[in-house]
Amino acid sequence: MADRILLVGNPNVGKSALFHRLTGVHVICSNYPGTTVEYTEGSLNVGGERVQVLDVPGTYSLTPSSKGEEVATHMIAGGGTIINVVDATNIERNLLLTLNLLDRGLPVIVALNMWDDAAHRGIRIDAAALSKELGAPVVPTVAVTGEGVRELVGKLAEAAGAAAGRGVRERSDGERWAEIGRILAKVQSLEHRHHTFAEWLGDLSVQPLPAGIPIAVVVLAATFAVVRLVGEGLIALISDPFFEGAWLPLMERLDGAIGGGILGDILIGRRVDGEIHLRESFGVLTTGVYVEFGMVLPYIAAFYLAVGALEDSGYLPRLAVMLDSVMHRLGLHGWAIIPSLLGLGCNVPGILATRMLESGRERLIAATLISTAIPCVSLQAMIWGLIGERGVRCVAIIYVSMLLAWLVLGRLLNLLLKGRSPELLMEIPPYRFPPIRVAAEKLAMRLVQFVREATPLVLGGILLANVLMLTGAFDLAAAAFGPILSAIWGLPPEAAVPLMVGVLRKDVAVGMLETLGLGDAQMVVATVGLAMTFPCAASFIVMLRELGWKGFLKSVGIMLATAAVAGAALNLSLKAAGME
Amino acid sequence: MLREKGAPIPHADRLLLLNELQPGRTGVIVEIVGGRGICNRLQAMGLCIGSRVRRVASAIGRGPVVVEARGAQFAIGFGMASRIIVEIENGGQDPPGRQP
Ligand SMILES: Nc1nc2c(ncn2[C@@H]2O[C@H](COP(=O)(O)OP(=O)(O)O)[C@@H](O)[C@H]2O)c(=O)[nH]1
Repeated sequence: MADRILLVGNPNVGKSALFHRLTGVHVICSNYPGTTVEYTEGSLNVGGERVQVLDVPGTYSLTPSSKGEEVATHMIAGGGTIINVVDATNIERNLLLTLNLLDRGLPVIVALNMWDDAAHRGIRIDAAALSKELGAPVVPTVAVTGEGVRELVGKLAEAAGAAAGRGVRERSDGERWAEIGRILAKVQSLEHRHHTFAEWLGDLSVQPLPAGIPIAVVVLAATFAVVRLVGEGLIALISDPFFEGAWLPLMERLDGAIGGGILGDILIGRRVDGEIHLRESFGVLTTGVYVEFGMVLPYIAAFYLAVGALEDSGYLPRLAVMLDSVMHRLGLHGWAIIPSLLGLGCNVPGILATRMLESGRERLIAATLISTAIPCVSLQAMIWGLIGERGVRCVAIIYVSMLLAWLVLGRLLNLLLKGRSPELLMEIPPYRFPPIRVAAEKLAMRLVQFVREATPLVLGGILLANVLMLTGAFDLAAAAFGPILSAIWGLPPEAAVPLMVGVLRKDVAVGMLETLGLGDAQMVVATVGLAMTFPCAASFIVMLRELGWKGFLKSVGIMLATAAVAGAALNLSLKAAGME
Repeated sequence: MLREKGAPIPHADRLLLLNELQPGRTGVIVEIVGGRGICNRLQAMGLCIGSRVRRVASAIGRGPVVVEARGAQFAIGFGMASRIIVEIENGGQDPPGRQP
């Protein structure tokens, strides 16, 4: 038995789903090419032995043309048994990679995945005959339910023997395509059937007019509405009753037990009109816990519910087609809408997903746009929750400012940076509707991940803010940066402090801003400034990793300049409009 | 690549750029004008000389061209599509999109 197993296949064939089945390690699967841009590692028990399993980024060929494909070719060269995951609904296209792998004499076993979907579509494949034609074991699987996975593992050992029997072959891709045609004629039969509803919808939504663009607008508006309604609903029905009915009394009792002092200041915070205030007291256990679990978590759940559905259905690549022309003006192509959309949830996965873009120039533009002009859902939850109380007008100004900044900055970067944006070339997957259970698992996984990553930062951020406040470090910061803020953004010097805390968590920072008693105009400017300047520490780290030092410094410079200009312009125009 | 330099182009009246192919019509790719990089990327996705492609949707302006080939759908940027030459198949009801 080889010491490692590689999952290799075209993009979007179910590798991540199969990886999860094999190893129990949870990974996010989505219905668009490029889900796995970084390899994931896990292990599997084969006959009492632990074997390493690697999920390789999707690749169409063994001659790399994007960063993901480069990683894939490199990993394949490192040896191991290969599970070639093939989409049974589309084996013609998939078999090119299979033949490439076989011709190199590699030990390959073929997982004929999406077997359920193929049956649905009236595609019949004779797996035994295919195995004979290829000279490698072939096992039908349904990765999302686990069907066939046990048999696949059982036949792993046959791959090496089959490879020895085949040997190495030199031929061109043209010859391989001819061979594929010959094999298909023998092993595949298609039942004649009518266009399915999903296919009809698929064709309708890639045709810009009359349907495609209206569909895109409706889908985006509906997504936004679902996030707001579900988020608000969760807060009104679950989180507020819990925090006000159970948590607040508990805090009152705890405060009594602690009896004030420094510990009380840090854990419970200060009283507002003699009472503990969940948003404004600013203790680790009051505001810290409430901001994360009471205000932000409901919106995170709502966001990933909506975006998860979009991802799994396969709509996103169609949205990319609709928006390609617009995105080209920003120096990107349509595909960049996917990282941007993910960035609306959290900038970290958004920036990571920029890997699916081909050129360094595009990755720089996309990552800079995300970190500068795309507010994450944690920040948005606070904008809706806190600033929403000041009226819809304030919220609308913030959103319009961010959107304008996104368009203008993208346009400028496209004009100023050398090079051209590359052309779109992508596969559009069929619409698929995965079982509710699979969607629920994915949502749960993302929520757990959020809680695990954000909790220490939120609680730590509030702790740090309190310590700095008690030690007087804040006054120093306000004295140092305050004058600049007052001069360009028209904010009071104390606003320097929340902006600095924003480096840890933006949601906490908005909470701090709200305690400063700012006017509407100042609050709007401060929030936009906060959203545009430094992204939180976590996105900072991934930016550095993805862009390298040079790109990172460039990107941060652009971000600061944009924030300064945008904040100043907004301040001036709001003043001119007479907003207080 | 398919013919001698200077030799007359066979069926010139049936040749179109991919972006000129009308929705619903089918053509066979006869030439890809471009560097190895582009050819390799297209080839790996199953879009190579000799492949039959059916235009699925029309585009607005310079939007991407959506085609179906080998049972899968692809979106190809306008610029890239205009470097792919196809020969339209006989038997179409309407005349070719480009008049001489
Ligand atoms: N019906 C069906 N859907 C599947 C199967 N395997 C994966 N999927 C879905 O296909 C999409 C792509 O899967 P993913 O694992 O992300 O593919 P990867 O890009 O190759 O890693 C996801 O939406 C999965 O839920 C399967 O066997 N049957």
